[in-house]
Amino acid sequence: MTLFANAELGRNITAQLRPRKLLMVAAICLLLSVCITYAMFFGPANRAPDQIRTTGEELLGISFYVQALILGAGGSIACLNNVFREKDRNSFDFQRLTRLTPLELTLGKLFGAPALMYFICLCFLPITLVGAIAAHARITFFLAAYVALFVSCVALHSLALVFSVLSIRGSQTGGIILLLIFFWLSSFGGVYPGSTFHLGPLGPYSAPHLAVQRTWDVMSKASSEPTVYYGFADEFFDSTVHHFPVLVVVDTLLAAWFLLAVVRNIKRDPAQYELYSPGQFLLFALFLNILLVGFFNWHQYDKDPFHNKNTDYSYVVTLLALNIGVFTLLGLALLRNRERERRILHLRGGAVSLLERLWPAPPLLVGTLAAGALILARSLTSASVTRAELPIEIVRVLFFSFWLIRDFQFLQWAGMRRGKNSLTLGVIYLAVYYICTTTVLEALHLLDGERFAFSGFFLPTAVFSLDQHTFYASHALWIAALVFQVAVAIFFVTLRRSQLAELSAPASAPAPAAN
Amino acid sequence: MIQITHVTKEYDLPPGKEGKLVAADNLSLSVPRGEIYGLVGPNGAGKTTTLKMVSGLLVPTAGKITVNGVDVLEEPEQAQQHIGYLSDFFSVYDDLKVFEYVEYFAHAYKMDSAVIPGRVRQVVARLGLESKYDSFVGGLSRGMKQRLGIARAVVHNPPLLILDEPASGLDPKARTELKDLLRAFHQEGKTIFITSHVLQDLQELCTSLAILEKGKLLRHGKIAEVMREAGRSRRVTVRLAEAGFDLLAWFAARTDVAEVRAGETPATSANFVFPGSDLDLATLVRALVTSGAPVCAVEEHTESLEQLFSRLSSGEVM
Repeated sequence: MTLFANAELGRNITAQLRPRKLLMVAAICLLLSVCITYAMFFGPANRAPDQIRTTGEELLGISFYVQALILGAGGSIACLNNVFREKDRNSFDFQRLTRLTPLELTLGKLFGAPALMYFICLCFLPITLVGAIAAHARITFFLAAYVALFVSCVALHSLALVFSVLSIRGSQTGGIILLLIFFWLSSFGGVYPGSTFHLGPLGPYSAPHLAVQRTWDVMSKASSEPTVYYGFADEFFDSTVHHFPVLVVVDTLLAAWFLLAVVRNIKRDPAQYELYSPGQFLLFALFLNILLVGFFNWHQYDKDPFHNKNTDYSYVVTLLALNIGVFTLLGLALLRNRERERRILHLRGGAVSLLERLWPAPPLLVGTLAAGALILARSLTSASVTRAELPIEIVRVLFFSFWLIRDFQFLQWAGMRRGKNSLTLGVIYLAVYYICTTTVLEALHLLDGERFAFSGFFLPTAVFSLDQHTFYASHALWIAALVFQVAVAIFFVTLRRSQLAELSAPASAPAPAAN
Repeated sequence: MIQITHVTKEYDLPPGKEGKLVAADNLSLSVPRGEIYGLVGPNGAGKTTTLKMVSGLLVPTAGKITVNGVDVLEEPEQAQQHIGYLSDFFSVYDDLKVFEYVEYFAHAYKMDSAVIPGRVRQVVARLGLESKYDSFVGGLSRGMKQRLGIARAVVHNPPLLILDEPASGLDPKARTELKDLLRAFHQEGKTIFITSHVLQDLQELCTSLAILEKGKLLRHGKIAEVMREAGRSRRVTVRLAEAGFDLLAWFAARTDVAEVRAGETPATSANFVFPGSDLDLATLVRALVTSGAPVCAVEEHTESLEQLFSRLSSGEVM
C-alpha cells in the first residue's frame, strides 16, 4: 500500500483538512504574510534599494523560523496527542484490529497527525518565496532548507510518537514538556572551535540558516563567530563535512530508530511493550556512541589556557557522563514489567533461566563496555589518553558499567514489586538516595582529600573526579569500591528471586472440564 | 471457528491484596462455526478479558487461541481479518462523518477500493443510519453510535463477530432491533461470540452458552443442554382434572421420583423431581393414568437463564 493510499493518513487528512477550516487558516496566514512583508519592505528603514537583498534574507529567515516552530513544536504536540488520545477514548483497539500493518499505521500517524501543521507551512510558502526572490537565494539552498526542515521535523515527530505510544493517563503534559525541551535543545549546535561537539544544530531551526547561505563552502574554524552565509562545518572522525548532509543522514537515522520502537509496539498489547529487542538496544547504543565519539571535539581544550589536564575532567569523563543519559533512557526501555515477565516465564514452562535472574544486566554490561571500549580506542588514536593513563580510564569505564548495572538491577527489582507506579517509586527512591548520600558524604568531607576513595563505594560518580595520583594512592580501596558495586548488584539479583518464583508459580490446579 | 486451549490470564490484585487475579483459569472452549455463542458471568468473571484475548488485543499469560484456524498470537493480522469486534465501552471519531467513518475502516481492512462505496452504503442502510449518512458522528445519539460501532465491525464482512455488551445503554426498542440484526447476521452464516448482562436477551438469542465465574467455566454447551443442566433432574408438576386421587401418596410409593410436594392446589396438583429421560417420564405418566388419576396436565419447569445463573454462580464480584 502506498503512503497516499494509507487509510490512517486519509482519516487524519479528512478530519483535519475540512474546506472551511482550510479557508480560515489560509486567510489568517495570508493576512499575517501581507502584514509582515509590508512592514519589512515598506518600513522607513528598509526602503533603500541596496537594503532589499538583506531585507529579503531577513524575511526568508523569519518565514523559516515560523515554519520551524509550527511544524516542529506544533507537529510534535499533534503526534504526541495522537495515539494517547486514541487510547484515552478507547478507539485505539479498533485500529489495532484492522489489517493495517504496524508500519502503515505508524506512517499514517506520523504524516497524518501534523497534517494541519503541514498545511500552515504551505500557506507560508508565498511569503518564503517572496523573501527568497528578494534575497536572490539560490534554489539549491531554498530546497535544502525545506529538506532540513522536513527531515528534522520528521525525527521530532517520530520521537513524539514514541512518547505517545508510551503515554498513560496523567503523563501527557510531562511528555509535551519533555518534547519541547528536545525541540529547544535541537536548535543548539557546536559551531565554534571550543564547542564540545563539531556538529551543527540538528533541529528544524537549522533551516533558516541554510536558506540564507550563499555558498556550499563551510565556514572557517579560525573564525570565532559563525559567518552567516557559509555552511556549518561538522567534523566526523576528523573529516570536515558540510552540515546539511550530516543533518539529513543523522536525523533520518534517528527518525528510523524512533520509528522502529513505534512500529514494534503500536499494535501490541500495552502490557507487553518492548521498545527494542536486546540486539537492537545494543545497536542503538552503539549508533549513539559512534555519533558522540565521531563528532566529539577532541581538541576543545588545546587552546584553552585555563584547562588543567590533571584536575579538570578528561574527554573520557565527558563522554561517559553523556553516556549516563544514553544508557539511562535505553536502560529504562529494557526493564520488564510483571505482566511481561509472567508471560516470558509461563512460555518457558515456569523455568527461571540465568538470563531472567540477571535481567537487564547482560545487555547493559555488553552495551556499556562496548561504549567504553569505543571511547577509549578513540581517545588513544586521538592521543588524548596516553598508554600510562589507560589503566585508570579502564577502571573508570568498569565503574561506569557496574554502577549502571547496580542501579538498573535495583530499578528492575523495584519495578517488579507489586503495586501502582512501582517503577516511578523506584526512580524516586534512587534520586533520594543520591541526594542524601551526596549530602552526608559532603558533610563528612569524603568527597575530596585523602578519604575520597571511600565515596566511591556509595557514590560511583566519584570515579569521574579520579586522577592518577588519587587512584594510585589508594588503588586497593578503589578496586574494593568497584567490587562493592558488583556485590550490591548481586544483592538485588537475589532479592528478585522470590519475585520470579511468585510470577512463575501456576495460578491454580488445572480446572476440570466444566461439562 | 474459535478454539481456546488452556488459556490463562493472570493479573496482580490491587495493592494491599495478596495473590493474583485470574481472569481466565486454564480455560478451554470451542465455538463452532455458525453459532451465536453467549458468554455470561458476574462482573469481573473474565468475559471481556476472554473476548479481548480472542481478538488479539490482550496477550494471554499462557495458552493458545485460534480463530478460523489461524493462531491469534502468531499471526494476529491474519486472524483479525476474520473478526469484527465491538467493545463494551468505546468512542467514535466525532470529527468524521458517518460514511467517512465506515469508509475509513473499510480501507483499513484493505477491502477492494472499487467495492467500498457500495459496501459502505449497504452497511449504513442496514444499520438504519441512512438519514445520518452525511452527518458528523459527534452529533449522533448513544444508540446510533452503537449502531455505527456495529457497522464498523461488519463492514469488512467478517465471518466472526465478537460483541462485548452490545446492548448496553440501548433502549428496549433498540435492543429488540439489535437482536433482530444479530439474528439476521446469524442467518447469513456468521458466528457471533457475545456477552451481555441482559440474560433474557442471551437466552432468546444464543444457540450455545458458556457460564464463566472467576475465570473458570462453570457450564457450557448448546443452550438447551445448559438450560436442562445435563445430568440434573427436571422439575415436573402434575395436575388432575378433579380431586379424589391421592397424588402425594401415589408418588411417595415410587422410587423413581424425589422431592414430592403438594402443588398450588394441594388436592389436585403435585410437584416432584424426576431424574429420568423423556421416555421414563412418559412411562410414569402412563402408570399414573392407569392407576386412575384423572391427569389433565403434565408441566416441566425449565429455569430461566437468570435463575440458572444465580444458582450456579456464587454471585461474587471479583
